[in-house]
Parts: sequence; structure tokens; C-alpha cells
Amino acid sequence: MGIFQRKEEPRKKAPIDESSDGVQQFFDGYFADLRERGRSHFEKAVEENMQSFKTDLDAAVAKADTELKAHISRRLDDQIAENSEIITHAQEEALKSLTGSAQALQQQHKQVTETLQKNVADQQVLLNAAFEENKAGIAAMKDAQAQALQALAQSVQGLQEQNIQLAQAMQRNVAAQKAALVDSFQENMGQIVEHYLLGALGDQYDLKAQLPSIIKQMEVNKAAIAEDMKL
Amino acid sequence: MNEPQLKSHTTFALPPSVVSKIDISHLATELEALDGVLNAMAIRAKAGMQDQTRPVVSEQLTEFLRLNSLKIEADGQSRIALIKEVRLLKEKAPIIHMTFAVEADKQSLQQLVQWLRTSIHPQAVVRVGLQPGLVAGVYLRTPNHVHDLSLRGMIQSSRGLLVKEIGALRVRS
Repeated sequence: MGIFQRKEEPRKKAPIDESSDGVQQFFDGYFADLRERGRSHFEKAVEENMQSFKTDLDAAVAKADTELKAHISRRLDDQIAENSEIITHAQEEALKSLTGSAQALQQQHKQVTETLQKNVADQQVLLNAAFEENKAGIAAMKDAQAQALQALAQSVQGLQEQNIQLAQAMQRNVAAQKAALVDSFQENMGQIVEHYLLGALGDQYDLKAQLPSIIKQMEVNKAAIAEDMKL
Repeated sequence: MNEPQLKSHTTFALPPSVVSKIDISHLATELEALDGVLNAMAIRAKAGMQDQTRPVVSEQLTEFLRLNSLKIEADGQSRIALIKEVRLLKEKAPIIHMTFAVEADKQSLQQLVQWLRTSIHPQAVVRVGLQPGLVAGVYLRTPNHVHDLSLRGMIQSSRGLLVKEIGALRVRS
């Protein structure tokens, strides 16, 4: 590297006599001048080295960049190729699997279709039979319903007639019951009066007292009694 | 002794004291007893034993014999014929059932029987019953008919009139 090639060897320092101020001051000035000169020289060298280093660094960076790009490109190409191969293989496998699945699916579809068609045919037969049966049943039900309606209408008419007859009969019965109750009341009242009379007159007469009346009554019925006795 | 001609059971006259068939039966029984006594007396008389006792005859039988002009001391054959006729009378005498509301006394029964024998049949007898529910009068039953001559019967037969009067009273009120 250039920066290390220009590096100066350290100078050998003369022994300093501390007892001498003039010398000391001389050397101080000299050394200060030297330090100034060295510093400027150093700065100049550093500047130059820095420039050189910068140039080298830029070149190195540019080269590294180029190489890195090439490397990365190669690696990417390799990876892409590998991935492409894997993808192709996977695609083939997937295609193969898809083909098998499609075949199986077609087979299943075929079987399902056949089964479905068979079921549909069976169901159609059953539905037809059920339909016919239901049709006959509905027709019979309609007939029965019509007969029931007719019977119901007749029943309603009969009930109305019965109702009318019942009402008339009830009116007649009420009137008859009323008349019977009145008759019964009168009859019972007659019996009550009669019972009262009999109770009041009981044991009032002995046979001797009754004898003229009895003979009189028998005189009235004499002819009938005599006729019966002749028989 | 002048023997009277024997009457038949159809021509017997019955005294008022003979009211029922039981009385006729008593007559027949008494006649049979008398016949036995008189037969015994006749046998004793034939044997030379003098018997001064006279048989006792009831008032009923005495009256019956008097009404029919019969003498009990006649010969045994006549007595037997009389007993037979009286028994026939008991069987053939027409009966009238008479039911009264009170107990019938003897005198009243005799009056009724007398009326029956003069008005209905000379040999009629009665069978007496008691039913207080009749109140008064008589319930009379002949062989084929009944005649309700009681007060209860009269009131019942007039019930229609009573009911009619009650109905008229109800209508007025």
C-alpha cells in the first residue's frame, strides 16, 4: 500500500540540557518549527494517502461490487434453474396426480351417474306407482267426500225437520202437560175435599141410623138386584 | 096326629132370626141333634121306659118350624127328610154380600133380611162384611153385580161435579 510506503523513520532526538535556557529556547523554537513543518507535511501526506486510499477503495469497492453482482447472478441463475427443475418435476407430478384424480373422478362420476340414473328410474317407477295410487285414492276420497257431503246435507235437512217436529211435539206436550197438571190439580183437589168429607163424616152414624137410607137405596136398585138373583 | 105336608127347600119360609148360611147350618145341626134325641126317646118308649124329659129346641128353630107349620115330633122318616131339605136349603139359598162401615147389630140385620125376603127373594141370606172406609151406607154384592150404595161411592161418583166446580172457580179467579 502507498500509504505505508511513504512513512518516515522516527528521528533520533539530541540530549537536552535542562540547565541551559537559551539553548532551550532555541530548541523550543526549532522544534516548534519542526513540529509545524512536520505537521503540515504530515497533513499533506495524510491528504495524499487519503486520496490514494480513496481511489484504491473506490476501485476495490467497484471491483467487489462487480464480482458480487456476478456471483449473485450466478447463484441466482443456479437457484432459478434448480427451482425451475423442481417446479417442472412438481408440475409433472401434479399433472400426473391430477390426471389420475381426473380419471378416478371420471370413473366415480360414471358410477355415480349410472347409480343416479338407476335410482332416478326406480324413483320414477315408484313415483308413478305412488302417483297412480294416490290418484285413485284421491278419486275415492272425492267420491267419499261427495257422499259425505250429501249425507251431511240430508242429515241437516233431517235434523231441521226433526227440530221442527220436536218443537211442535214439545209445544203439544207442554200444552198437554199443562192441561194434565190442571186436571190433576182439580182431581187432587177433589180428592182432598172428598178425603176431608169422608174423614169428617166417618163414625158419625151407626147402622140403625143408616138403615132407612140403606133400604131406600136398595129400593132404588131393587129391580137390578132381583134380576141378578134370578140368574 | 095330623101330619102336615113336608115342604121342599124351595118353599121354606125363613124367620128373620135366620140371617146367614151359618144360621141355616145351625138349624140343620140342631135338627140332627133333635132327631137323635127323639129316636132315643122312641126306643126307650118301646122298651117300656117312660121318659118325661122334653128335648130343648132353640127359639130360632122353633120359629122356623112355626113359620113352616112343621112338627118335630113326627116320625123319623119325616125328620130325616126335613134335615135333608134344610141341608139343601143351606146349599141353594141365594147369598147377598153386604159390607157396612160399622159393626152390624142383629136387629138391623134382621130388618134388612126381612126386606130382602119380601122384595128380592124369600130365601135370601146375607154374608156380612166390615169396611170402615165406606163411611156410611152399604156395599152390596150379588152373584154377578156389585152395588156401591155407600157414602164413599156416592162422593166418588160425584167427584166429576166437584172437579168441574173447582175448575169453574179457578177460571173465575
